[in-house]
Amino acid sequence: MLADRNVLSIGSSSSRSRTDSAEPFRHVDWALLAITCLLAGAGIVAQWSERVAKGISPTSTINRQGISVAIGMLAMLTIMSVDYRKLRPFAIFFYLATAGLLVAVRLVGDVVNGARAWFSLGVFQLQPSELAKVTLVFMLAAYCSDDRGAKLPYDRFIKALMILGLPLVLVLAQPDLGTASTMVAITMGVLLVAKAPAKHIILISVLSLATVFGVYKSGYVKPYQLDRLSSFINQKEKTTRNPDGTITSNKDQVQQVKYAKEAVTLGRATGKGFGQGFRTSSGDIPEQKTDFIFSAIAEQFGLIGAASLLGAYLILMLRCLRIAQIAPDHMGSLIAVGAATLFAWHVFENTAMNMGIMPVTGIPLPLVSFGGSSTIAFLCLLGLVQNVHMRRYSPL
Amino acid sequence: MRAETSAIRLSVLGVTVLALFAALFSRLWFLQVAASPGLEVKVADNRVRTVALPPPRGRILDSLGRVLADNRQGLSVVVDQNEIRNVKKRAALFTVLAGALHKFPDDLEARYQSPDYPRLLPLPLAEDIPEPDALWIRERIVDYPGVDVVESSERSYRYAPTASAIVGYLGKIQKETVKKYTDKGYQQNELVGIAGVEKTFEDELRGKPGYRKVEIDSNNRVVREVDRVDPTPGNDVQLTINLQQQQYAELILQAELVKRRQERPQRDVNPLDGLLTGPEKPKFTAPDGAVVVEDATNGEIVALASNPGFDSRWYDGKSDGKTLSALFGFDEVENDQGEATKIPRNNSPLFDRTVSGTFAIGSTMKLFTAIAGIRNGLIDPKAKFDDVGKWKMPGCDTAEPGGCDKKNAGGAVYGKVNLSDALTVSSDAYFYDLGARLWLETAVGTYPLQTELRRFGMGSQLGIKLPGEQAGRVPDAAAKKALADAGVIDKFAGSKFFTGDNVNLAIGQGLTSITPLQLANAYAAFANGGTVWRPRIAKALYAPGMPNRTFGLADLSQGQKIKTYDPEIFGQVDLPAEITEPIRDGLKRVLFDVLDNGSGQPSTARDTFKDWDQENFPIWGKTGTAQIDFNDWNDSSLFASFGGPRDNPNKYAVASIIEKAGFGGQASAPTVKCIWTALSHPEVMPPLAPVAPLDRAKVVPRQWVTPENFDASCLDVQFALNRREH
Repeated sequence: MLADRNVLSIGSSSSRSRTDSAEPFRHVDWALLAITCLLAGAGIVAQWSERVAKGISPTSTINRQGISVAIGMLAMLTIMSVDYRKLRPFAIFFYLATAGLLVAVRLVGDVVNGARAWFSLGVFQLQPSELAKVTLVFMLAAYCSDDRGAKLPYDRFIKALMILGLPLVLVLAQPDLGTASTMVAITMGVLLVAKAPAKHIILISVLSLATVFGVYKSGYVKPYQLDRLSSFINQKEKTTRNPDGTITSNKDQVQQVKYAKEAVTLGRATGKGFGQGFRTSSGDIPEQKTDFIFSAIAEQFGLIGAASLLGAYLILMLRCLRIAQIAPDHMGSLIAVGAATLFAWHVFENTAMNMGIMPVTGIPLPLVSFGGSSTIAFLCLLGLVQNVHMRRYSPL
Repeated sequence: MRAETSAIRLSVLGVTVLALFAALFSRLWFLQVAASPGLEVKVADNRVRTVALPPPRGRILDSLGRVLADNRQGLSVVVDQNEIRNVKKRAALFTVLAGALHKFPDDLEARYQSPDYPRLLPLPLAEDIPEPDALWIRERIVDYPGVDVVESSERSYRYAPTASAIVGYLGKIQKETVKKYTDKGYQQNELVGIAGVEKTFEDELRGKPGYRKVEIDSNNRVVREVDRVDPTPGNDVQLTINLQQQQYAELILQAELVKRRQERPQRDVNPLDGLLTGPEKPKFTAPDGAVVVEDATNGEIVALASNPGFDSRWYDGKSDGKTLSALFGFDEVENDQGEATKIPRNNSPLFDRTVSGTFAIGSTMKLFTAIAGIRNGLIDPKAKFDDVGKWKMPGCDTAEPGGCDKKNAGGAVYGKVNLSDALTVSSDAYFYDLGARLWLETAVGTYPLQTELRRFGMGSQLGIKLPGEQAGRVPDAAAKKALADAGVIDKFAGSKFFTGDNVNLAIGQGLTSITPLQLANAYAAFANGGTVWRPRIAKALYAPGMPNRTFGLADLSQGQKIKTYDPEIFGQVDLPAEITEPIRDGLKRVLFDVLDNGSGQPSTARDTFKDWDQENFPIWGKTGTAQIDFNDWNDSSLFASFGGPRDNPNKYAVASIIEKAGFGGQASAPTVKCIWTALSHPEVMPPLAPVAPLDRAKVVPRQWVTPENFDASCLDVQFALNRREH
């Protein structure tokens, strides 16, 4: 109690125990850290269980995910140790560096599931678009917080959109609609809290919807992406003959969603148990340990498991929003808002597509889906959020 | 102020997040708690998977046991779908396999993506590959995970293209019939009969599918077989056709068509000096034709030739869609109004004119008009009618001189003729008069001529088991109204049935529309004394497993017959001698006689048949010429006949129609004569031609033995006959 009062009173510029209380690592958000570790651990357990259910040795998957979590945790600690405000001048550098990586991946990257989005680095495959989300949050926070006026002026609003534009175009070119949608979501979240005028936000929403429609009509979108969308809309198998003569169908996507939904349903209240589950073990759901891990969790651990997981995410997001509220400065606040939006969008889109109410996109479930780049990127982002929380009392 | 906005906007964000999560929680609840409890049962069944085992299809034999449609063991390449689920793996595999299978990787990918192939079964990549290719793949099988070379059953048409129109072909289940077949237990990618006997006898030929129930592990690999029911092969269908006779009929018809395309109608004759006058007329186009040979004693079909024809082997699954549409697709042309319309390419080679084509049958109709005339007491067969070359429509009144006159073909004057004479020379005037009286001198609405024709099976489907049989049309007031309603004829013409309509019907013109099969079957009924058969294409069903006597010839004596298709009667016509005798007399004289009434007119088929051995193989026949627009290069040539060996003179009925090829005596009579020659002396028929492999580079519906190396004008048959005699 005493400590609490102490913390509260510090806001009123008492210098009594400044050196003591301002020590950043004393102000780690333990709840957020606990949730972070819990989710990372849940991810490893979920992948383990999914591998066991499929009768595949889980060792390699667990090892790889474990190493990713370890690297991510180290990165998180590293980020936490440097005051984010000191990093502010470097925001543009990080931003341009990841943009550079996105350009490079266009040229020399590997194609996986139709998108040229991966660097092959021996045992590890780097997906720069995951990092780009984090640097985008940081860049937007750094840029939009420059202005402390009542409203974000129009020119800055436009420039903020241009900041979004560069990585957006690059991920669209991969093409990776999922990451693109995430970037848009982050930007909207940040701009909202950065007090962009509501009419600008509405205008840009209308414009981007029109753009989406235009792109859809232009034929630039790859057939497999349209298949994913159409399989979401009508849930019916359909074969398409493309203008280049190739034939594609959404058969796989329709089945994938159908089986994922079945898996969720079969979980019932308590789930089929660790390493069990018909749909998970049958291997009928492609990409289950990455994008469709939620269906495995829901089948194996039931409503209890799946709802607890969603609850954990909800707490994590509310924690981020709380940090946005109590952040020492506008930039910190926007970092936390960006993180909250990013998590919210990822969790919503991913679990909703697992339950058949959103189109299938390659968006992982944060910290739980198998995948090094995304796990490390999310941990880095949480490091930034912790960073903000830790420096509530530190003068720059 | 600033802090407030910020806080409000943060709350907006917070509320949005909460709303999204509320949606997620309720969806989760809906799926896991509220959803149907039946799913578990359904899914549990899935651990045991049932793999269908399609039955070997029954064979199609001709009447002597020649195997027209057979199953051949082939080798197919399949791949386990689990191995290629990964795009990268699949692309890699398809790239390396494509070369070996002589396909493009895209083709293989298209198969993977096609909804025709269920994910649970191995995906067939190539069917019926050559043995060396199969060996090549088998040797490298370890490099191609999931790939296997399996034995598969391929349909083979050993004698195609002969009888292709009858045998038909297989194809993928068409979209609109998927439900019908899947209800019967078919797999979606199974082949079913699409045309011919393959279609109409699908149920008999198919057999009963078996299945394997296998337990699968979590990787979809088969752990063990739980249950197995072997498929029951389909039954063999024995057709009534004689393949050698069929081949002969097809070749004769083709040769006749080619020959007629070189000919022109005679130039007009100047009535003043009897010399030829006027310009050269265009050549006959002779685009198509049909020949029907039927056993008049039991309704069995001996041969059915339809031209142009096709080759069943184009439908063996190796032809791509492009080839098939080049062969059997549609051409877009402009019609008279300048609108784009689609017409079938290659003059509809898939269209079986023998059962689906309907034609005006011209003077071959006169047989039935005569029957109706005698039966209704309108004519005395012995009474003489004065044929002055033209006939005036009763009740017709026009200022134009001769405007009410209908003329004989070519304006010929036959003098005083009785019924027999009128048939011999095909006097139109005689039958114009009879046709008018059959309408004017009988009670209104009794339609005596139409009734007679319907008794003989015209205007109805006879019920032959071949797809697409047409009923044709016997015109009466109702038929005219239907045509007017459909916009085929104008409203006034369709308003009622006129005397002129009956006059036209009496000589098989106007709105008359009869299939070649109906024509032959009606002549058969006349020949056998009045039994109208339901023509049969199938003789019997044999249990599977009948051994072969030699390659391609089933040993019927060792087969187990499980069903005989007995003769079926469509109807019975009362034909007393006072009706048949004068008509038979006329039909016999058609073949050789010259009128002795002073006109000196020869019978219509005399040129063709005058040397026929009537003593040992009597035949009766009637020519027919169906006119269109009074352009004689548009005349369709018909000949209908019956006859047989001396001891069974009413054995066969043969009818032929060749469109736009001249008088009945010019194209169809020679064709039918060749058929009769072959029926009377089967040894003159060329042996069954060895079947050359389908030349896929030559995209024509049917590769004919061309007239250069086959002159089927019966001359070589005559030559063979002569040789036999010496």
